[in-house]
Amino acid sequence: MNKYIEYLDGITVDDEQHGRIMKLLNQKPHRLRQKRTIYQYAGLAACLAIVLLCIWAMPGMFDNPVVVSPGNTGLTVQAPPQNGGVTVEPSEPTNTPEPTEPVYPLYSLTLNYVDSLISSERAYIPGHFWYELTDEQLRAVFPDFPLTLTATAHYFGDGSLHSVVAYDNETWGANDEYLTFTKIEVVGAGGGSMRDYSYVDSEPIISDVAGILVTAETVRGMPIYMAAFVMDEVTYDITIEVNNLEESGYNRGQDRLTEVVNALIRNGPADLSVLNDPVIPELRDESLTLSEARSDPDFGMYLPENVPSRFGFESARRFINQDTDNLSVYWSIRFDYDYIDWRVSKATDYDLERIASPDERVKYDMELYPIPWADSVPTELRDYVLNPVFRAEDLTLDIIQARAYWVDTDRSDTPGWRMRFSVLYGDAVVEVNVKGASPEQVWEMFNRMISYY
Amino acid sequence: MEEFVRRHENKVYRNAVAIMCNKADAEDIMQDVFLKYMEKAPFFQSVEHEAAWLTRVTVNHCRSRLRSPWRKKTEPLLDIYPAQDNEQQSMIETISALPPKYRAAICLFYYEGYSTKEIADITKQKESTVRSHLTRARNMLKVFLGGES
Repeated sequence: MNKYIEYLDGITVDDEQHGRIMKLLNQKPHRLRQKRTIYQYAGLAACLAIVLLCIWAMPGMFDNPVVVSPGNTGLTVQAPPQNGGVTVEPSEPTNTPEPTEPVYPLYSLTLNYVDSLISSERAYIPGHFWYELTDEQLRAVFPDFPLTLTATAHYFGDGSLHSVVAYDNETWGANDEYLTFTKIEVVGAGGGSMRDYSYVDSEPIISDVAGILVTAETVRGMPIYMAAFVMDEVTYDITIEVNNLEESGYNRGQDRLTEVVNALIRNGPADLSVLNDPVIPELRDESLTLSEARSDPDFGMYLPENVPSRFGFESARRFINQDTDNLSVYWSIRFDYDYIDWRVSKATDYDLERIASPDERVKYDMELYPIPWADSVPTELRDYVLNPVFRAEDLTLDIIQARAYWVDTDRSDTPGWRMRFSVLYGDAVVEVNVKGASPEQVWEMFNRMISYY
Repeated sequence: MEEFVRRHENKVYRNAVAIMCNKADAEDIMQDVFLKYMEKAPFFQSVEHEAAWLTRVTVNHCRSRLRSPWRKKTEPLLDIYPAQDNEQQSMIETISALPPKYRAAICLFYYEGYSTKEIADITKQKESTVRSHLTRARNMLKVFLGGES
């Protein structure tokens, strides 16, 4: 299998691929864990609003649902009628009170089966920045939309709009799982790429919804429904995903797709002009020399004057975007795995939440936690123990010694010290991640930094 | 974070390429693995632990991608990363035609050098299952294996 090994050894990540990874990582703060809670509570309120709205505003929606028969080679739906697509007529009211909201005809969608996706490269947005839409902007982009949405506008670095991505607040089930997930992407004339599909039948059937041509798809065997159309040079791409493989789940997904497409078309195209002229945040991504890094007016003063002699300078980087503002410097040892990773950044709320005082040893003393840490470190202390923040005036050699742990192995890695912690200097935080330098050496680096200026 | 990525991106990418046999999916998986690292911020007790964690996450993401309808149709792998000779070409073509679970076993055993027990720990399968996958893959590759055990 040497030929196989040689073949894989010849495959490497090029600079462009590496750049895409780093762009993506720098756009993803640690708030991922908080996201679901916000949507969860908002979703509960949205559930009630949707139910009430459906009762009063869309009485005809379920009169003639599109029929799905799982297991057939195709959907048993009506072929597109000759009159342009209207297959559901609003029912005549009998002995019912006058409705308080108008009843709209609901255009059905012909769903095409797809079994795989053909797409271009994942969209890369040069100089990407983003803003969440205000209520006023939401009303302009999604006029009179029946679902409660949260949306984010994504921009190129020059301030031109790339796309708007909106999500319905997920409907939650009894077991805290989402039931229906709706995503709507809106792309203006200058925006990002759209998806293509591999259709089971060679040519998809187009649906006519009030004069707008819509392609609608469902994935064979999966409760995923998609639709796309263009209206006044604005492209809409809708995805509905249902977390339920029972019959009701399939119907719910179809019905939601029909509802969303009809509502978007009926209420008119998005007014994307409300998103023009955003405030462009400062954006910077530069490789620096060590001298340039030391000269940085914001963070250069927080770099050590010297590092242990066996470490050599490898790289430095200055990065600024909406969420991140940092200077990072990396020292390493040639042909070895030891390193000093020194990062200075604006202190965030998350940093301030992890401050540990000297007498709170449970938050930082590695001696208290035997390996495996996943078992020994209490969940509520994990963020602290992983990367505690010390006030600069509290930092001592004793604290650094408590943070350090020794790795002693006879396998491929070198034995030595490891440590990770952060130090708060006013509104700046220095995070160090070290492999192969002793606590005394790291203490000396901090001392030299403090006395350097 | 950048240095962590630099240290491991080739390994993660090669594993993903070996299992998925296409560049686009492998790139997506590589990004997802590092996102997962950033989200979970796991403790690593050693370099080996670090490597095993990355391998496990890569394999899991490959599995998820293989189950997903959003798989991309792209150029054949050998068009992007050509073989150096005819024998290598034939071998890669044969491996690419294997079921993904066999490709994963081949990659972890022959390229990463894990034992069947270690592969079972990484992939959360029975060791007997791993041996079975390897045996069947070897049978399909026996013309390339020659005297190798």
